[in-house]
Amino acid sequence: MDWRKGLAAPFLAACAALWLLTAVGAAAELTGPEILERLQGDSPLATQQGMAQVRLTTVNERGQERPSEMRIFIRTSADGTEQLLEYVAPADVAGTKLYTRTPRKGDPDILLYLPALGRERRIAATERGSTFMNTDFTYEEITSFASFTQLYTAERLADSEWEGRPAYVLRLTPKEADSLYSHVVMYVWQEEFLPLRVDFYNRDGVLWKQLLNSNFQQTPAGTWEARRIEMVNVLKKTKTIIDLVTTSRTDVPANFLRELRR
Amino acid sequence: MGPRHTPERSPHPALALVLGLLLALGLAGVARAQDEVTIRGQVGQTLGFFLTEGSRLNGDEITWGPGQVSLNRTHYQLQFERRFGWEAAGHISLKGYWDAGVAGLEALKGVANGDSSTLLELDQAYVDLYSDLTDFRIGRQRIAWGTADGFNPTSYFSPLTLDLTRGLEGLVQPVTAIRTSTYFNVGTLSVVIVPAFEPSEWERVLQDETGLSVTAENVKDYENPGEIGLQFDTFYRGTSLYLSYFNGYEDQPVVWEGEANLHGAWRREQKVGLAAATAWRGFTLWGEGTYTFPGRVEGLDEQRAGQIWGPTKPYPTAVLGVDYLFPRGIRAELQYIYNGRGSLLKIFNESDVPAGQYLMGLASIPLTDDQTLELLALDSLRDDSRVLVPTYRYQLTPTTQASLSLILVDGGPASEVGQKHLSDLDQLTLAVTVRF
Repeated sequence: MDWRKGLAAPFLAACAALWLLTAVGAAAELTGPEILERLQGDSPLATQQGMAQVRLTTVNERGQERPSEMRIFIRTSADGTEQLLEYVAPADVAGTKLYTRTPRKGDPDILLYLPALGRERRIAATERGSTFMNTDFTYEEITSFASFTQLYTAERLADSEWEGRPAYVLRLTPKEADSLYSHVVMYVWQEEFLPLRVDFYNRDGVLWKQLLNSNFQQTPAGTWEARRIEMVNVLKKTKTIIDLVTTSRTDVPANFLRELRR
Repeated sequence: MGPRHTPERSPHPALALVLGLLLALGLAGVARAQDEVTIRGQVGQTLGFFLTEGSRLNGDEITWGPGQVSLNRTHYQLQFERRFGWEAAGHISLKGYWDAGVAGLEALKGVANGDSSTLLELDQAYVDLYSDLTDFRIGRQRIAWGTADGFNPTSYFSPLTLDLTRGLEGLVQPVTAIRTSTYFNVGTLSVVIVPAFEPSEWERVLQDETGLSVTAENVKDYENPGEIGLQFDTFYRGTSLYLSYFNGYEDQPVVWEGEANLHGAWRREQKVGLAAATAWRGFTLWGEGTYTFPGRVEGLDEQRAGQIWGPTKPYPTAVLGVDYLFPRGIRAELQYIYNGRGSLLKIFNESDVPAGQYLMGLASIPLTDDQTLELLALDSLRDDSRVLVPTYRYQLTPTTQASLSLILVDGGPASEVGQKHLSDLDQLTLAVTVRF
């Protein structure tokens, strides 16, 4: 596996943000921007820490599956966000760790620890439109999960439902002209304010990718989590499936950099 | 090109045994649910074939021709790890290899692939203890410092050599040491103490590179066997900085021609080093350098420069590198290497040899999800000779990889990489590795 394939603000940001984003509270009738704000504002990403162990499976256009498993730690403070990803499987990458420190301002520090080398290695962020680690996520998709309100204007469409759940439907238009998408359509679970489905349209207005959340389960804290997150590339006929194995808000190392080097 | 330039350091058996027992006892304890023993390993088979005719004088004259098997090796590794929450950890790993009876290989014993089979040996065995501020690692371990790929002047506890046949990951040899890493707000201070210096196998290399041999009684032994290294590292505006110091022994003794015999002496050296790495517009940039002060040896100053194998004056060593990831996952890397000690491909350089200067390139091109083409190239700027190692990799399953490599030497017999012990060792290797 080439570790440079899109290791920008990398995969753990996606998993952590997706996971945290899926654990929000309930609300009443709201406008499009208010729904989007609620989705973002209640996310514990801004104030909390956590750990998620996930199973990631990429499926190529021939239907061949490539599974991997990783442990992801995240902590946010006034200085910024720290993330640590450790591969658990498969064997050829097990023990590899990736540390990302994203300050409030400025570029992130990204360090890769390869057990075979026995030391860390600084790496550069990649272009935001590039994919990472052969998944169906791009850098822009990863980073935008935690900042929809900053990157998009929201318009509420007619309510609908997705897999039996009543959903608000939002049409999100990128604020920046150089976005990868012409627009995004998001289905938000009305009762729990969780994204159920997100459709990404390319610049030609053609459906490009779909993010599907499923296997919702209630946490001990009473919030809901999507235990399966699926990104389907409709045009390439590939997909990436993320299954949450375990999550914790407390089982986190005191110092991520130390943990990277252990 | 054979693996002759990476001296193997033998484990310190008593300490390794004690640590192994301690670790075993630890592993037998009651584990918390999240702290299970992790077992990993790999097994592989490598077949090598000569591509050209060649010969050696190793007692008798040995000859080989294109297509003759040069290597048929089974290699394996097994490691056990266990975490004890956030407070401690243990690691033990074993490795070994077995060379099948290949005429070419046996004939080259002591020259190219020559080591006998090592069915099982200790690789690493250490315990980790984590306190509030400091992490301790005690036991046989790999200590890799520096920021460059493959050749790290500031990685003081590993032989400073480059062996392309082992890849960039196989160069760091384990040592028995105590390592502490203390984390302050401004950075991290690491201290490494090696209680007993472990000399490498150097006699065979001396014979191979210079044609000379020295008897053990003519080599002055070392007195205080301890070595120490310090490193302070910090982040500054998106840049990693590492300052380091080393006081220990050279990887091989300095050798000189006496009046009647060849003499040698183990001597201390001191090194100061600086390494840095940063990222800029998608590029990763790194550099590291050391300045080495060889210790003084009685009687050495009177020798003429051409009769001493080893540096007699302080010298610098440096690496500057850059890499970039292009669209479609194509990665390219370039490093400039300056070795004030002489040739990077030799252990025993004469004291007046000019500094070695090199360009090392690495490219990785994904062909499909499962297939990758790589090219590793080392070009000697001193005489425009080079080594090329193209490799094709095929990921058969998530745990099984096959590869096909060529090792091609391009340079005349008088050139640095085309010298006699390398120039006719063009090879093709086939390898399959299974990891679990």
